[in-house]
Amino acid sequence: MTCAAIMTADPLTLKEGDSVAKAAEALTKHHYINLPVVDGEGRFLGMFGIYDLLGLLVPRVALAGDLLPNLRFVGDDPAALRAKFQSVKTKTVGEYCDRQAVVLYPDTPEIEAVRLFCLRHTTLAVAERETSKLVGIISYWDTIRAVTAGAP
Amino acid sequence: MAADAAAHATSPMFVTATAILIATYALIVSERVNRAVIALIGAGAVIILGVLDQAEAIRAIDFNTLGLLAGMMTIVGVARKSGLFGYVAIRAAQMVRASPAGILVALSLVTAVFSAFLDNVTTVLLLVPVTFIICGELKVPVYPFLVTEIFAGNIGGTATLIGDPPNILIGSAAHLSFNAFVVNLAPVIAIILTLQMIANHFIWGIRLTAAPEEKTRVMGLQPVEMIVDRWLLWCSLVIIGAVIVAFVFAHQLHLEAATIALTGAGVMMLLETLPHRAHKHAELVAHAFREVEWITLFFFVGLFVVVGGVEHAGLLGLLGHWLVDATGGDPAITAYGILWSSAVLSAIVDNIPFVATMIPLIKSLGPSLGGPEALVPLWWSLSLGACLGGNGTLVGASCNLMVAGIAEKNGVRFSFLKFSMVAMPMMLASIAVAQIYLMWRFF
Repeated sequence: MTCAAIMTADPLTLKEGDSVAKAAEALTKHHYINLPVVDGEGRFLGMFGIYDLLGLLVPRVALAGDLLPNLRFVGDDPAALRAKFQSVKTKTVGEYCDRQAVVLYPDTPEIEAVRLFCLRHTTLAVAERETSKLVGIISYWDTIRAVTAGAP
Repeated sequence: MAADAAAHATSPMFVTATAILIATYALIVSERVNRAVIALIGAGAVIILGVLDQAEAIRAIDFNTLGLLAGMMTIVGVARKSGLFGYVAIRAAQMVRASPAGILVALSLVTAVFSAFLDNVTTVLLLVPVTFIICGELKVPVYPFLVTEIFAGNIGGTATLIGDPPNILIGSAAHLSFNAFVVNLAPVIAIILTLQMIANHFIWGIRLTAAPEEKTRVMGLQPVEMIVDRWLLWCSLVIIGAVIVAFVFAHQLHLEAATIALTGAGVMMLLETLPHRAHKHAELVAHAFREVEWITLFFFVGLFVVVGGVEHAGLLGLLGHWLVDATGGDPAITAYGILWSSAVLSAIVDNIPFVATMIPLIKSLGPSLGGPEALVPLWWSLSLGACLGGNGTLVGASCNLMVAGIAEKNGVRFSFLKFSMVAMPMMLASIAVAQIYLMWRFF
């Protein structure tokens, strides 16, 4: 079975010019882990998800390798995170989307999608090989549904 | 003697050894290939082409230097996991009431002291992230703090035997003790560091301001939360303290530096593993050994053999004669020449190959300048020039590049030109201070 058979076609997408605030609303409203980001012609650019969103609230240096063991020393200030979100919400998802996200093709075997879920724990984009146009996404739910269909 | 040396210059061994040296150094400077790989191939060429046999090559390797480096790298690699560095940095910032100008001074001091006793690169690797956090809380630009930490790291590392690899090389080859470095270099380093901090204040410190609420946020940081392993923290403090004390009393204990460092590393690893079950010990020890910069160690191995080759072939003796001719055999002029040339070269190329080559060259000057005692000021000149020279440009020292690399990954641009335009004059000023000190102290 290939990715084309199990993917969700014409998925909800983000445009690269969409704001972080709009992305946050879409992610929380639909409980998505991440959403594909496309350009004006529908070509896949990358993924933007809840970890990218949360990463905007944390000092970048704290996310790079093991340079900082934790941020417990920063103390508790709930207003600080809200203030940080306010300062980034107008920025565009194109600036922060993961452009190194793995992309699958319609004829990629399903087993490859399963392998990537185990390694990356993220929704996967499916794009046309020649044009890079986004044609669908595969979530682990899609895969589990396909695998378990018909099982008692 | 000079005639003998010149006659050597046409021998096949001389030509071969010199060609290998030049090729090795040229490739190291080009940075097209990993330097350890180049050094090992160069060393292989020295043996295969008959400049040295294997026994002679092994004798050329300074295992005391390698052991000292490996031991200290292991100790620091384990100690860093405790969170000690971050704790000290935050406490230092709070002790100056979160004043940005005060933090600029405090972090310089912390960096310099850590660098004097531990490896520069690890010191900045662990202080820079906390610096980012503190500056983020204060809403001040982080660039001035990173630059001052670079300066302080290179200056502080000059003060002791173990602060910088060139000092380890020099101390081992010239049999200069930990105490000798402290007595002869720490005073001038303290002066240079003080002058550097004053300069930093007038360049950046006086323009840094933070609102009271931002300062309150820094005062509200909880440094104790940086300590992730209290057992490891205490072990680190005890072992590092014991190792430094052992260095101070090394002569009385009849122990070489490598023995002290490697024994300390062994005890550190033992203490780290004690609280854990036996099946975890191998993992912890493997992790500790991963902290050793094997690339640096094998680079040294290869370099020792390549330099040993040119020493055996007579190149360094010939260069020594030329140097004596050029300086008229005057120890003072020779010392100043070594000071300034090593500073300028260290600012633009890796100082370790330069120091490794200069050591046997300086040794060869002994008979012309009046014996081994006459060489002492030259060793300090080489140390001061090679270590302080690293502040001259962004590529002058590994810790400079490490800081710049972290900064770039976190959105702070480090321009070679912008850094060097500030750094080079300050480095030259520090060398001028070093020269005045040498003149006063030895001549």
